[in-house]
Order: sequence, then C-alpha cells, then structure tokens
Amino acid sequence: MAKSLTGTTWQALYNDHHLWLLGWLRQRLGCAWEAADLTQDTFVRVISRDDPNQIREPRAYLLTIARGLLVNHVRRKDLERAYLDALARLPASLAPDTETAAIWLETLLEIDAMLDGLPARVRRAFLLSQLDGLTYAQIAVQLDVSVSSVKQYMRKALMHCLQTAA
Amino acid sequence: MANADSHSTDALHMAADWFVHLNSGSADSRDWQDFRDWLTSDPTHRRAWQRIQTIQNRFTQLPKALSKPALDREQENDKAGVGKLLSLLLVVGFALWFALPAQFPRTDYVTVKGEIRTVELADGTDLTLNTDTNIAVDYGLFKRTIRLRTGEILIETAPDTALFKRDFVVETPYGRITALGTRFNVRLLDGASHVAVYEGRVAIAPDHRTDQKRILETGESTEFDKQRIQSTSMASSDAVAWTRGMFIANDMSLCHFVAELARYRDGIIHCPTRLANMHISGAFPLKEPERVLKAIRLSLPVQIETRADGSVLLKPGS
Repeated sequence: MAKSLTGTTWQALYNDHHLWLLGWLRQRLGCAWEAADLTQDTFVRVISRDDPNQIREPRAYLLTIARGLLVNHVRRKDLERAYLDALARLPASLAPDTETAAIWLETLLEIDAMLDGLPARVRRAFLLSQLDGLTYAQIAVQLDVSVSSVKQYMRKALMHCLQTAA
Repeated sequence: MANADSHSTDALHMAADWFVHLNSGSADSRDWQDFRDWLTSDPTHRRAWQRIQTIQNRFTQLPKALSKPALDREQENDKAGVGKLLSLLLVVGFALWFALPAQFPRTDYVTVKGEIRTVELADGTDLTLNTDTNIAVDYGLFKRTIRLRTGEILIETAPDTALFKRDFVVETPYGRITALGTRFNVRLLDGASHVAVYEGRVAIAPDHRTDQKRILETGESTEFDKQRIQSTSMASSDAVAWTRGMFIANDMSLCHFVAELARYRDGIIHCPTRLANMHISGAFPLKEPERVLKAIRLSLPVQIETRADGSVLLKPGS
C-alpha cells in the first residue's frame, strides 16, 4: 500500500486546503454547489499543471487559480443571462429549439472568449463591423475617433482573435 | 522550416491587411480583383485567409438579435439614463418587433480556381459556390441579399420563417434576380448574367430598364445585361452538374469545352478556331483538369502542348 510521494503530497494539499477554499468561494458566489464545482476545478487545474513539491505558498497559489476560474465563471454567467434575456425577447416565430439554443450559447461563449482581453473600444469597433456591418467611416463617427484609428482597432482585434482562437 | 514559418506569418499579416481593407466599406471591384489575384498567387495565402474566415464565420452563426445584446452588453450599461426611455420604446415597439425577421452580419465567401464549396446560411438556405467565385451575403431587415461579384452560384432558398417575409435577391453587375421560393443557378458571363431555374420561380430586373421585367418558371433559363433580357430557353440540368464536381458535355464544340475547363484551372487554354468544329461528349471530373486534357487527347485528333507557365495550346494532330 505504498503511496507514491506525489500522490501523498496531492492528498495532503487537498486535505489541508479544500474546505478552506470551498469556504472562500462560497462567500463570493453565494451558492454552495457552484463553489464546490469551482473548488474541484481548481484542484484539477493544479494537479494537471504543477509539481506539488514546487509549491511554496499553497493557499496563495490556490487563490490565484481560483480567482481566475471565478472571473471566467462570473463572466460566463453574465453572458448566459444576457443571452437568455435576448432569447426571451426574440419573436415567437424565430425562437429556436432547445438544441439550437444550446449551440448558439456555445458559439457565443467561444466568441466572447476569443474577444477577451481586448480594450473596450477595440472590441466595440470590431463588433460594429462584424455584427452590424458598419463601414469604418460610420464606426469612426459612433466612437468619435478617426477612420485610421478604426483601421488600427480592426487589425488589432483580428490579430488578437487569431491568437486566442488558435 | 524557420523560413516556411516566417512565410506563413507574412501571409497572415497580408491577409489581415486585406481583411481590414475589404471590411472598410470603401473597397471597390478593383480591390476585389487585386485580392483575388493575391489569394490565388500562393497556397499559403489561401491558408492564411481560411484562418481569418473561420474567425469571421463565428459571428454569422447566430442571429444578431441574440449576439448583439449579449456581446455588446458593457456598452448597454453605460446608457443607464437612456434605459427608461428604451424600455418605453420597447413596449411600443413590441408588436412590431414580433413581426421582424432575424438579421445576420454581412459575410463574404470566396472560392479559388478549382474549388467548389457549399455553405448553409443561417436561415437554412444552401449556397453552392463554383470555381473562382466571390459573393457577399447580407441579411437585412427587409431583404436577404446575395451580391454576386464573380463566378457562379446555385441557390436553394429556405422559406423565411419570420411572419414578415423578406425578399430574397441576387444582385449582379447587370441587374437583380428575385427568388420566389426556389432553387436556381446564377452565373456571371462576360457582359451578362445567366439564370436557370430548377424549382419555383424568379423575377429578373435589369439595372437600367425598369420596364424590362420577366418571371422565369421552373425549367427555364435566360441571359440578361443592364439593358435587356434575352429570349427564354430551357434550363439544362447538366449545367449544374458542377455542384457534384462534374462537367457534362453533350456534343459540345471543343473550343467551348476547353473554355469551360479553363474556369477550373490556372493558366490559359488556347483553342484555334479551326478546331471549333470538333465536338466532344461525356462526363468529366472538374477537380482533375489535367486528366480531362489527357482524355481529350486520347479521344480526338488533337495535340496538347503544355507550357512552363501552365498555359496550354491545342493543335490539330493525329
């Protein structure tokens, strides 16, 4: 029944900190289920990424990862809420079936992740072009910037998307 | 290896420049032509462009009525003051809104020589693009528009699901074709548009003559330019065999045949007029133009001379 050293260390890390992390997440989320999910996700991240013997400050380290997951989680929920709102306002004749609605949500999350990290103005210029089909002259007026700025924004957004979507 | 990498990185940067320019709203037909030349001049360019199209396509996969409020939501928060007015307008506009159709972002689709591709649009309409084709798809509030810049498309429209029905229109440089629930093919020729209807009906309107209008029924085809519509003839189902990657010739003049073949292949094919009275029949694979040339040589008394630049000269022979 000899446990590998790594196995023991992971076990110790989990035993020592998971309740504490769960408490921390529950405070911020206000929901025990979501907190438990994110706690598990955090530990899975750590296990698949690092050598436990290298971790000097386990709690600080766990928090860094948990915070990242939390931000994504909240963003995802916001996006889902906005999507469901928009879905509810859709004319009855256009309402998609459940499967299509789920696929659309996935696509939306993909696009959102792809755009993540862009400055607000750049993101907006890109959306006005790609969603609304506005010309750069029109976008320039809306954002109160020059056409050449819009061009720069478009290039920046595209290169960013190419990187994050790869 | 490092060289190949930097080559494809360069291509990606060039493709990004094209993307920025073509989306600006100020690109003209000359720019599109230059873009096409750039795209076809190097397979690396094509691959780079495909990567960019993947990004662009994501935006077209769901209706604007959903993606817009969900993705642009930060902006909505800024306008808290306008919120009340907006919700009031929303109530007033609600009845109207129920009748409104889904709008999707405008997209361009391009095929290179020899490429045949089918795309399904958001409303279920199928578009098949033949070789060397460039179109813009624009689903607006009142109209579904396909702009045919070059090449050929087969369209199978889906009924508009909105209560408020939008027209489905193909705009060509010579005039517009309005679909009336249908499957039809549009091809740009030198100086004219050719239309063939396989199901349903379409309405044709040349650009410069509002009095010249015609309804084309199932099984009919015709050509039109900006001024006039030619007489109606039969629509041949062989003419859309390209959608299955085939070309069908029925006792076709050899020069006409190689002109068709040249659409799918880089490089000019010269056919001297004294060969025009030779005829050819059969079904040929469009993906393999070189094999088709070989088949011609085996079945007709002609010699085929291929030059270094890819151009081909047909000569009488044994």
